[in-house]
Amino acid sequence: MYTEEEINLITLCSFEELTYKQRFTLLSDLTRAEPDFVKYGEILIKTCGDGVYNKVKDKFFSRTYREKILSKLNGRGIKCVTYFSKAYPENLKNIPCPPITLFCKGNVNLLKERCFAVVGSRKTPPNIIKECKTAANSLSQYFTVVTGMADGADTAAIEGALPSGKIISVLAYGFDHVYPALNENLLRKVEKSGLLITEYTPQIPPLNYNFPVRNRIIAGLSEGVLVVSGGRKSGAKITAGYALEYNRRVFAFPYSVGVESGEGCNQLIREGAALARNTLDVLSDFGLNFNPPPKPELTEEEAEILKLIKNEGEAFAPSVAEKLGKLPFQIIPALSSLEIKGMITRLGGNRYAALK
Amino acid sequence: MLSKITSFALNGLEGVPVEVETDINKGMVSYDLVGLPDTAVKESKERVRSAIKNSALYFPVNKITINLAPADIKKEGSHYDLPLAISILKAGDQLTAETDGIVFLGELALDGSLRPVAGILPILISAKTKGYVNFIVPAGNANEASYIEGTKVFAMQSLRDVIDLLTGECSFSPVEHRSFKATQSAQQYNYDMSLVRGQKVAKRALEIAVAGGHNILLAGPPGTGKTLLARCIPTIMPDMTFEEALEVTKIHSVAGSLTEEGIVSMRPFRTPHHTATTVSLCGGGNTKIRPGEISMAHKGVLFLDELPEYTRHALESLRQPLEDRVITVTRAGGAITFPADFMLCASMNPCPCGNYGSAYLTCSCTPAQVHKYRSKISGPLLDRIDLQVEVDGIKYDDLAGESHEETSAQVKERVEKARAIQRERYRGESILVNANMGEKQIKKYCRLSAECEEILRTAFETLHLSARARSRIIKVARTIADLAFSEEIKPGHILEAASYRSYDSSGT
Repeated sequence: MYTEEEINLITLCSFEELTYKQRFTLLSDLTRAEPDFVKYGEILIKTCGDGVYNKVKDKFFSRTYREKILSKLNGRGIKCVTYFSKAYPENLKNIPCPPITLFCKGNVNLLKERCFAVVGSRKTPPNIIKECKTAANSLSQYFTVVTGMADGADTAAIEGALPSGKIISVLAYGFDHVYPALNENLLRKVEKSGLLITEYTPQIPPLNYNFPVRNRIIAGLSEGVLVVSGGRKSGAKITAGYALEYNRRVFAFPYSVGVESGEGCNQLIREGAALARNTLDVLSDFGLNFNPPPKPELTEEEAEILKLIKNEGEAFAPSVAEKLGKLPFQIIPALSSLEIKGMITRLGGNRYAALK
Repeated sequence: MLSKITSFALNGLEGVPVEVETDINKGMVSYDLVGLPDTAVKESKERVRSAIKNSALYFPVNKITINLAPADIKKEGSHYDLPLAISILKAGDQLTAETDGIVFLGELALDGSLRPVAGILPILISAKTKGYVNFIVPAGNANEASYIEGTKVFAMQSLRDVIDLLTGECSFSPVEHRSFKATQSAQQYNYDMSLVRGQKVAKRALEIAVAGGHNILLAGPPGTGKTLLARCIPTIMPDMTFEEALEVTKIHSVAGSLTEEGIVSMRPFRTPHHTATTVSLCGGGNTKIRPGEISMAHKGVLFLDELPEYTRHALESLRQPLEDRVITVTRAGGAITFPADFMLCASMNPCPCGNYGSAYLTCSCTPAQVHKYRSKISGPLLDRIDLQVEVDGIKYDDLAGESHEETSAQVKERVEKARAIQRERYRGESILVNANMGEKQIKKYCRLSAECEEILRTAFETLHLSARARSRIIKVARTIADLAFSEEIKPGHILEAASYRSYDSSGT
């Protein structure tokens, strides 16, 4: 099942005493060293000092401990893809601090596909949520969509890509936990038809400092990153930062001035990220063909209303009616029809926004 | 000597005849009241004694035994004072006039004057159906009693007057019958649709809701006029018929909350606070079962402001009465059914901070918070709320132009026309309005064209509607069609109906 090398890494990852840095030093030594048990001892002492070595050495060399770890993981249906595994994605190997072991649930083959990250903030406006869903859906024609598991943009990206099954959700905690609790169903769905990965052993709970660290995996896995929303200080921006560092393409949705949840996107564009109006912009950058779905037929009234809403980006239903010289309830059917056709979306309080 | 006087007991809204039998014997001086009297009835002894003495009459010093028959039902309330006094006087031969066939009701003050009591109207109505015609009631209940035709009601000031009336020493004229229409036109609502500026979408939804008898949920940021809108609902509802008014008055009479007017001629608007308990909403009580808020809102509006703040238990208890339009309150003492045919209007903020959907303020709630807030209202309850409307989260000063606002009377006219269409359609059925349609009637009266079916199908796909939203949308579409005098449901009607479902496709 697993090779001896892989088991070494899995065992290594099971020690919470070791920091990532220590594990990574071990890993880099291991790549050079012969897979010889005696040598591990030397390496461990050299890098971690006697204290840690004494704590972990017995376990590290113990057959029963190793078997226990593996059977635990197997029992939970967790597959491990280690740095030494064939399934380990090349893209990840090239980043400066690759995860040593990826704990996976779901379709591991997705790791070998072309990946593209779609990320955004939890406070994404309703119309961008819809855009994000559409974008993830069309991107999944060519790429496996990589994202997190948070509310808002992440959820939308997952929902968009889920029908094709080409979705990787990178978690920042172990498989024993579900976060956010509201997304439990979604998490199970991804597990069933897509892939869940995490570098953390099952018992690690969601800890706030792990989320930015997790973002490097999202950026590392992907050929490019699309940032759909993000404030001045947002996780999506951190992902984009990693992506730039790793030499990946970064795309961002443009926002109008003053929209708080889009300030990060605009800043990224200012700093050189590519402006993406839609999926077409992204795919053409990669030289890929994309046929946008045919636009639904609109009646004259609908077209007129859509134009009015588009002029301002978002509009208040009674104001639209006033401009058309009608009573608000007279345009409700048309608004409803536009909504059903996926041309506009509600923002709450009888305000509507046009979708691209 | 033995005397028998007729009075009435109330069992819920139903009056039951009670015989007050008094026997005065020689023996140890005593006063025994038997036949399941409650505390208020037992205490009547002291009131009766003083009232008789202060009416220049004589309270017998003998062994007095009084029985309230039938002996197996509980006698509650203070209206037995008068029959007890008359019965004692008659048994003591101080009063020899004929009292057969007269129903006595009233509470006595120590000086012998009569005080008004609760529940006169329901007693009068039941007594009339049981063949009683003559009544003697306190003067304070005269208005309430004046609406029942075919009865002869004497509203008396004091015990002395009652004696004089019975002996014929003085002549009194019975309470004059009053027509319902006159009182109705005399009263006016304090609110009007024209007072609400803007909110055109919500107003339209209210019109639909009232026209089809649908329940409605108003969602929007705080301070946008949700409560004001709700207060306008009674003003656009069709006028109450006399039968409806009597039904409502019966309940209010039992609850003892009737005003000077004596009849409830305006549709009730009840706003229980969100700390209301299940019992206060549904009705109940230890010995005497009293109607709850939902029965007090019978034929009117029950307005639940800040819906998610109510306890889950209280909200869930509304489900069954919303369906059956009556509530059966069961206690150890028995079960009583109160009518509860009300229109539910609820309001809520879109999220805990209230700014979701506001054009000016940013919502600071996490999606989990919003979800938790909204999920306080259970699916089955939302199921019974056909229209879920967002009120505008916008300042009207920002809108250009002086907008013309319709008055309630104009809206009411349209509502009445739509109601007339429904009355015609449901002739012979057990329902009155579109909202009450069951699956069978939906199939019969709401045939959809292929185009409408197609719209519904796409709407379900793209808007992620739940399966139960379907019949709601169709029912509302039926009402919209009725408002437009359209025999068939057109695509536009379905589309409009589909837009009033803000809380169905949650999160998308």
